[in-house]
Amino acid sequence: MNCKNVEALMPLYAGGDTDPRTTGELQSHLNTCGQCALLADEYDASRNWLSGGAAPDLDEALLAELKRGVMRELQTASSRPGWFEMMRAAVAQVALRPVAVAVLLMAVIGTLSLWFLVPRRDSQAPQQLTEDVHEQPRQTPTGSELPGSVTAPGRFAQVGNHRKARNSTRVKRTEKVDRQDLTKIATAIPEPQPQSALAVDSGGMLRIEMQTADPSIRIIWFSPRQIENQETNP
Amino acid sequence: MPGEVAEIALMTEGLRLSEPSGHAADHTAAAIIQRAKHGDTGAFEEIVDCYQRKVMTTAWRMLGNQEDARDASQEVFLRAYRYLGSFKLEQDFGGWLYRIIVNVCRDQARKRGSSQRFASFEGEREAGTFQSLASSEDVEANAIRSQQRALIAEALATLSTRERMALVLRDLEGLTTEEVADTLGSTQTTVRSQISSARAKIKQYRDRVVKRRG
Repeated sequence: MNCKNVEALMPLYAGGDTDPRTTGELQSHLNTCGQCALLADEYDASRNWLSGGAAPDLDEALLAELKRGVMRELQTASSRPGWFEMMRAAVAQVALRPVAVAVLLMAVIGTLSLWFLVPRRDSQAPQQLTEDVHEQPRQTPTGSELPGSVTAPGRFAQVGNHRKARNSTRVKRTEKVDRQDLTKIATAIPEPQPQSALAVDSGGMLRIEMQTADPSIRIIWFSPRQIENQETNP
Repeated sequence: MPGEVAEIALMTEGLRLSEPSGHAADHTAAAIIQRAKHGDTGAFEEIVDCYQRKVMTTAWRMLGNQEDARDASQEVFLRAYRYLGSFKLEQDFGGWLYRIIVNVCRDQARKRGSSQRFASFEGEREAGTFQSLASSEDVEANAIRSQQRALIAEALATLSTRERMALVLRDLEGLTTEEVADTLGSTQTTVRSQISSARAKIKQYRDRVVKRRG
């Protein structure tokens, strides 16, 4: 073992942290090398210096203060109730009892009303739909009624029907609707047609109308006659 | 005067000022801990009595000043009380407490970050360390001791947190390398490396101090 290796291992050797074999090799080197022996002495002195002065003076007043602080914190922590205890204490108070009873009663009523309404809504839904068809004839965006049609069997009408189905007064009225009339009305609803265009000569311009799948939307535009000619006679 | 200071400082070398007083209490520790586990605050107060000196000393060595050490010690006991339920009586209570001390001191060191405060001679004087002194000889002896403590605190401040903790536990608290590794949650190889580096740095610092004194 050379001096460089000894120097690297010396911090561990000084504290007895080297394994027995390495310790033996180091000791035999230190017996022959004065410089490394001096280094070992310096490490010993350094360790003694550190352990000798690192202990602080702890007077009794400081320790008593520490203990008082700990016990005070423990008492505060143990006297502080948890959230469950706080809730239980609040409910136990007389002033809050009527509120608790009212909340409980409302919950029971809500559950019962849901229990009775949910199956009835399912059985009444088809009739409700036809009732709305009867009540709301199809109209143009400007408010005028379109001929030959009663309502728009679209998404919006269905949403409205479901909303009304929840209303019990509406349910009663629906029962009065004549089933025969409703069948007629239902057959009068035009099936959504695929897009169809109609070109009408309007003075110098060509008026083109296109009916979309939604009967309440119609696209109208004007075009010069030359374009129409080009399209029809390429 | 510096020569005299060095001479008296050498005379005080090797003086263990505060060994933990819990040796006698270790025999009854299990019974006390058992009571404390069941929420007996009186029993926990006895635990505090037994271990407060040890906890405070270790925290002071790790953190370098009295104020932080007192805060850390208080937190150590509060955590110990909180987690006492998870402590098994077969375990070594001292080792378990060391792990809490290390964790608390790590948290404290992380919190204060770069504004690390290690004790200085002036700081100790301001903290009132010399107030209870009777004679002028005591004043001088205490001043020398305080100066040496401040130097050692400065030397420890040159180490990284991990190095300092490993060195304090191994060289000042007297734990084995295995125990240090267990306490720090590290391997023995890592601990040896940290201790080796720390000892070398402390020696360098002391060499500079000795050279300055002539």
